[in-house]
Amino acid sequence: MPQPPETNGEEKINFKWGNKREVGFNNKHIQYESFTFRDVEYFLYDCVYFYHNGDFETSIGKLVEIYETPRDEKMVKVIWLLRPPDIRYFLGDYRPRWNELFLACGEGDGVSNVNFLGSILGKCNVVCTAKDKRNLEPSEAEVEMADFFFKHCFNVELVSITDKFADLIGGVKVEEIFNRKKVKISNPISRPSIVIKKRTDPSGMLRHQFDDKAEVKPDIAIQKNTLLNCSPYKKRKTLDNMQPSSQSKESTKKEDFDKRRKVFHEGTSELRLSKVVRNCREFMEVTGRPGNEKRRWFLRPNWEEKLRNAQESGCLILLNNLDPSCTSYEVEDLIWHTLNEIVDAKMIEWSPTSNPHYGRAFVVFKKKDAAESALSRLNKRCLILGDGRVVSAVKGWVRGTGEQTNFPGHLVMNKSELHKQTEDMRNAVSTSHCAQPNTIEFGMAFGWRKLQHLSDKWWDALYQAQKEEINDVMSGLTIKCNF
Amino acid sequence: MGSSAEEEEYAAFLEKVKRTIYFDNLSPQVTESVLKTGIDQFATVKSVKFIHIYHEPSDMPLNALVELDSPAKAKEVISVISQRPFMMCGMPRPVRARQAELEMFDDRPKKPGRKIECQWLKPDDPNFKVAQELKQLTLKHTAEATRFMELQLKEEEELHKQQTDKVKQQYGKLKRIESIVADENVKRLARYYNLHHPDD
Repeated sequence: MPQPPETNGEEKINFKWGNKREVGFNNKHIQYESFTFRDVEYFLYDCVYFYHNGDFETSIGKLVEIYETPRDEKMVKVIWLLRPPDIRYFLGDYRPRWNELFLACGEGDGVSNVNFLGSILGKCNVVCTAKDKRNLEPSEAEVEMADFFFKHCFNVELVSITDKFADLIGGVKVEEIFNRKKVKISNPISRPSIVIKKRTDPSGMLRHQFDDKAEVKPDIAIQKNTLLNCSPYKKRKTLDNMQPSSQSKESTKKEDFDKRRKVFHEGTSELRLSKVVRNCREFMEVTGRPGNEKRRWFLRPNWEEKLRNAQESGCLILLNNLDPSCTSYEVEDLIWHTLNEIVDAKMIEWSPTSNPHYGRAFVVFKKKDAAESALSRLNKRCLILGDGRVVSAVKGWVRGTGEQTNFPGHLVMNKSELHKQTEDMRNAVSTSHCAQPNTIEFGMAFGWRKLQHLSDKWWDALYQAQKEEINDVMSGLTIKCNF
Repeated sequence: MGSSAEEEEYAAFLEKVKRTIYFDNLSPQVTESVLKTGIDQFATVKSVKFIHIYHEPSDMPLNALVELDSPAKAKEVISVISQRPFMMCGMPRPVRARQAELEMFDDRPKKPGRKIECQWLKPDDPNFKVAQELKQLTLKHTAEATRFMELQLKEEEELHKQQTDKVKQQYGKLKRIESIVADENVKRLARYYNLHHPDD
């Protein structure tokens, strides 16, 4: 058990105990039903956020015990509600929603922890949507309003998810874990001003919060050495007081740690980029990229070769849903401005069968990494243009080289007959000419004309229908766009 | 506002576009010289540029941009080709010609004074969901277009097959007539039936 640090006598404690609980778990501890901390009232079985230094996300736990030790320590026992990334190796085929959690259960480390009350960051609204007789089904409105939901357990012993809830979880009756009849409805106004929801801001803002004074031992709360060990699925390898875990867990933890740290860094670099891009709500104007003038002097390269090479080395991306009147240079500028990469772009020209509403471009990056990172950024986030178009990116593909052997519409005469023809006849065949009405050729040409005409019509119909679909979806946008 | 150099460049480009013709349905055997000789019958050809559709399968016909020396000539050529089926380097699939447009050129200059605006949406933005939907829609539309193209190519193959069969039949018929005329049987039959022989 780690030693609690010395209390500074001068600190103003923004804390008040609520009602005592009548149950006597441990006669030495005083059990409570609720408390008020930083102007927020917390009740037993509420869900709360914790944050541990170095984690990518906050941790969420359900308060199952609130007590004060004889040494005046305020402690809480929580059962963890695990996030999907914490157990991603064990999910199997199950695809969780982004706001879904998993209740830790079973025998073993990681189900619950005892933490200092002061390390609580804030309240969290979690509903249980499990179809269990003992669970009170939440209303649709409640599910909508909730921050998270859970309907599965994660058994730490069997390392798998299950939707069967045992009678006792972490020593607590399951009925208490499920949605309980709400006596007091949590007032949204009383929610703490710390909003933890932003997933794109892992630690910057939270660290900032901890600089505040007049809290109940805040700096102590986040020190690694004093926080008790929580779930083994979180990275805790540097704690001296850490309980020894099995060898295999250790290695997964380390991998986990490294992976998460990498993700964490990517997250911060993304943050930096968005800072460069300034205000989120407004549109920014795309400025020219470096070397703007120079590129006009040089002849555009042989694109066929360039595209093929780029595809082979993985540097080719196809952008879709650009403005069709965009030019290749504008695309290059756009990529520079938003992704900070210098690229070569080629707008795909209009053709009789291309969709006139979509502008497409091939983009050749200098390196494969750059291309892949651009692809993932454009797919994870949404880049929206001034007229409401959302840029879509896929891996580029070009057709292979090789002679086109099959061209429907050109009839080839039997070779052996050809040499019997006179020279005049041969010339007639090979020169470009207008078909004369008294030939078979004329009739067949009209057959082709008819097909060409028909095909124009059906492409028009397809694109008209697609345009209507686009307009339907775009009408849902609330950004001020110039359509 | 764009600089005057930009505006000049843009205006010059627009001029060029007015006197350019966009050809499609060209056979892959058509080369620059074939195109030039073909169109030279009507007007002087300044330049020829082939447009390769890299992202579609290679069974597609070729397209080309042909720049002539004046917009009037371009209009003339377009009307001639639209009225009579024009064959180039093979038959009977006629080529099509239409007035060129800006979007047919991949090296077109930027319109002066035009600004592109963009913004990154945050995941908690209410528009984020709509934006994701739009991206999905784009992918769906691309898939639909690809499928359509496959169907179109099938139709073309079908027509080609029908016409090939028809031509074979016609050719066979004409060959038989030729052989009959060549071996004097027709003359003999005409004399027998007291019919007038065309060669008399």
